Amino acid sequence: MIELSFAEIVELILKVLIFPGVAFPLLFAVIVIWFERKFLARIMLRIGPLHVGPFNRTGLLQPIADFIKLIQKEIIVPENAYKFLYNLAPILAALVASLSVAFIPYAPKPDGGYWVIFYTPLSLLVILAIFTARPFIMVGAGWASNSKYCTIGALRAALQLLAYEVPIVLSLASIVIMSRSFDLSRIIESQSSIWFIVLQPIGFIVILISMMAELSRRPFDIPVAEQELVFGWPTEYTGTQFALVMVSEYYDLCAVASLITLFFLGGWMGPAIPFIPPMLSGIIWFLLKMAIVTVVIIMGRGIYPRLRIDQLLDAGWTVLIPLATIQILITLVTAQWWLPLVGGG
Amino acid sequence: MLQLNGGCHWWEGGSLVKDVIVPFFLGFYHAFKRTFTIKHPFVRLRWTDRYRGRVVLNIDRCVSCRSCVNICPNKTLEMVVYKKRLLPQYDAGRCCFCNLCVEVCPTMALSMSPEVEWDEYTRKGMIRPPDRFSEPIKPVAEKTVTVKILDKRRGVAHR
Repeated sequence: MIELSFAEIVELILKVLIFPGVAFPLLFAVIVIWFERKFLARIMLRIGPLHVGPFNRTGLLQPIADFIKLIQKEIIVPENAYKFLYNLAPILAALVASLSVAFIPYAPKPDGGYWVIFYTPLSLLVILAIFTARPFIMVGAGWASNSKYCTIGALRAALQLLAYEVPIVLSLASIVIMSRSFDLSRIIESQSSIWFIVLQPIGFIVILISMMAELSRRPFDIPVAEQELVFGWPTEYTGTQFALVMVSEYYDLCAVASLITLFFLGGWMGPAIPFIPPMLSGIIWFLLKMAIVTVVIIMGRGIYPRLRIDQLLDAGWTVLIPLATIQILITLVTAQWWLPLVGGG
Repeated sequence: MLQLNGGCHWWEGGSLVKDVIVPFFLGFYHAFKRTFTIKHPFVRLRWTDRYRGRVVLNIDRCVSCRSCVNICPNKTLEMVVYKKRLLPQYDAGRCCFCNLCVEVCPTMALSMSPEVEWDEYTRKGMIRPPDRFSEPIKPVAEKTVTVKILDKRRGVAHR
């Protein structure tokens, strides 16, 4: 039995329920869905959500209204579906997507620790393991739905996600070489003097593109291509199950934005904001950088056309993997000059 | 070396700068431009004064001469008895907005108004007897915008 003091219990509850835990990804999903619809509308010179919510016709509560609508709807299970897996998959998707936030440190604490739900020195490997679990859920859901569109979408998702995990892992290798640790908080600490985006620009581009493909966002939304497959692997889901699938996508977006911030943009590093305690200013810097990464990821949906699956796999295997390998070689060769710059030793 | 898959690549048909980087900043540029659509129920388009919208009858000026009924190519107008007078009745479903009745009217009782939002739920409602034919145009919404600029790049723009 681990003895916890009252302050530690309060801190744990705060972590699990409010900031990196339950409330934060949900709030992130709601805000990002609203922002995505409004921002894409503005790119296309439209207005976007208008009627729901306060503040003079901004449509601020539109995502919440959509969620309420989805929850009210009937859950329809197709006749030929494999019911157990079909009902399990959306829950698993949301669960797995919400797991990764637990291992991401968001700020340093004044006593030397980090603001993270579960601290482990191998958190990078845990995050990779969580990301590896996602294609299996998609394939399971697509197969259990027993429908053409779902099956094709699931197979495409499997091809795409498995192909783009390789460049991610290869690019992360050069980060691990640089920071000499699998610990996410150590990776941030090692960027105290210079961010890794300056030292590894090729790795940053590879990771950004691969992560967009992992999230299956445009221009890589081949598994859910609306014009060909109705909605890809979650086509048959309705009501609450569809809401869970959508939430899981935005949980993943939250995790990916946090990870890119953490790997390349220096996490909570930033000039101290006056009159604010260092931990809070760290959180503010982290969220600010996350917002920028999110905008960049969302941007792709408004401006790029969708790739074909063969073009995507071609680009993944013949361009991104060589680029990531080149980044590893460059890092290995130049490490002796850069390592004195890297903090945290 | 890079021509592997039958010459089909994701950067094919343009350069990296032209197809990937320029659209990115163009997207931001568009995001801060004025939207092309308008918030319709709250903001309405104000049409030009000579726009050929709903035909309006001025009952006081009408002399029941039947000129409009005779010239109408679609049999839109029909003389009916209204308050012991012969006055034209208007069928919106047949009207082609050709302006002939307005031109032929000797006392200028008929006129074209810029009103465009006069939808009806039934076919019968589209037939307007003289009292509804002569009702004045509705006041415009709280805020209106006009079609002003014919932009070479964007087409019609609202200001």
